[in-house]
Amino acid sequence: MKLKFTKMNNKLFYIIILAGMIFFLACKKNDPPSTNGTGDVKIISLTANDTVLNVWVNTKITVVAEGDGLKYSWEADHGELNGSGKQIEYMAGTCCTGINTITCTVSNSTNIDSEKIKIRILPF
Amino acid sequence: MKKGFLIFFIFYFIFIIKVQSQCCGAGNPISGFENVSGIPYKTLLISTTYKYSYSDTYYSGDEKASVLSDKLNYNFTGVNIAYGILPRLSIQGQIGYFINKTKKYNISEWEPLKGYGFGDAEINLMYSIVKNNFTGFNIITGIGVKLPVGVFDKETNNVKLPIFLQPSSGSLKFNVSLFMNKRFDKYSVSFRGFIEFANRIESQNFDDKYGNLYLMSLYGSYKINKIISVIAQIRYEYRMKSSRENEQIVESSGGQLINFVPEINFIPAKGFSISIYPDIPIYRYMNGTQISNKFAISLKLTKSINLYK
Repeated sequence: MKLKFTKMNNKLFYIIILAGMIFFLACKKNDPPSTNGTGDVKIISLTANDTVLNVWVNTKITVVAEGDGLKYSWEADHGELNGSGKQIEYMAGTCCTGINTITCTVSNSTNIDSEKIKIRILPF
Repeated sequence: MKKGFLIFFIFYFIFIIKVQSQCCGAGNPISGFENVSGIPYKTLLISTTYKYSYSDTYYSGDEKASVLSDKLNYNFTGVNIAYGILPRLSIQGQIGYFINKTKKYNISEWEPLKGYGFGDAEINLMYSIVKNNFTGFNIITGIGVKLPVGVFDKETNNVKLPIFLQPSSGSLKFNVSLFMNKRFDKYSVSFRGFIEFANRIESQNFDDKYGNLYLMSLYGSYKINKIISVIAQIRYEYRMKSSRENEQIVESSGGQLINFVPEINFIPAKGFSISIYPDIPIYRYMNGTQISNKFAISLKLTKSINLYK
């Protein structure tokens, strides 16, 4: 009886470990809420000094938004961003020629808004 | 017979080099168990690896490109565990951690960017199809998977780091490998073939696919005495071009690299070894224009425990 119970315990242990591993591997970040332009956060404009660039040439991208306590997040699908806040610099190397998308997300504790801008990187 | 065996390897390797063409990979560097010739039954190998890599030169084809260069470096640590579960079957695993992955820009106003965190987890199954202790000849085949369990989509000050500074490779990778080894009295020769197939990365931000990696190594090892042995490795890497969204080929990606890897191995105590080995590039051909590795150096500590009682 005791042996059976120990075997069951072992099985249960392995099942928990396996379930934990599957959960860990399958775990994915939640997408941000897509409440574009609602509430007290709104992007007024997202502009770049240049939208066509040679490789390794940088440009400034500026966001104008309204709202209180704003946090600015930036991401580029290809290329590199440097800086933080309302204005950021962008550049792409030879790995990233073509049309690249830069996304700016502005949020506060209750609302969020995001905009995209496309920049073309010319071949080297 | 011995001569024939050596000649076969040398010609095979030269032929392969002529046919093919490399570069860098994402996620963990190539596994630290690359030169293990099979794990004995019920033996546990635990190994920790440290690797420093530095790059500061762009190449177009096989020549230095006349562009201002950035500086990239990483410090990587990995824990490898291998166990001989059956006389011919062994399992190997690795988990990696990047202490840093840093890029310093040649633009004076740009701050250096730094990624860090867990990289990939790797699991390999190795099977000895030929295992002859009498002749000292072994052939081992392997299959494996690299799981992107580590940090991806990492940010600094709410700004997403570029893909090459992300610690994890962000996609499942599968590999197959073949290892051949012939031992003589004081020396041995080995060959390793390895192919890694990359899947598409589809994260919140990135949509990319790294090119497949083809790797071949030829090793010669010589046992100076009971404590010290030396290993010379020539490693050829060929990485195919990457692609981005809508299957667009990234022309400045992939290429060929030949590294010379001299290694010195100490056995200060029974079941314990220390290896140190630099990666010295001796030839490269980069598609388009890309930054390429200048050198890397690795330190590996291995402890083997025999659980066969």
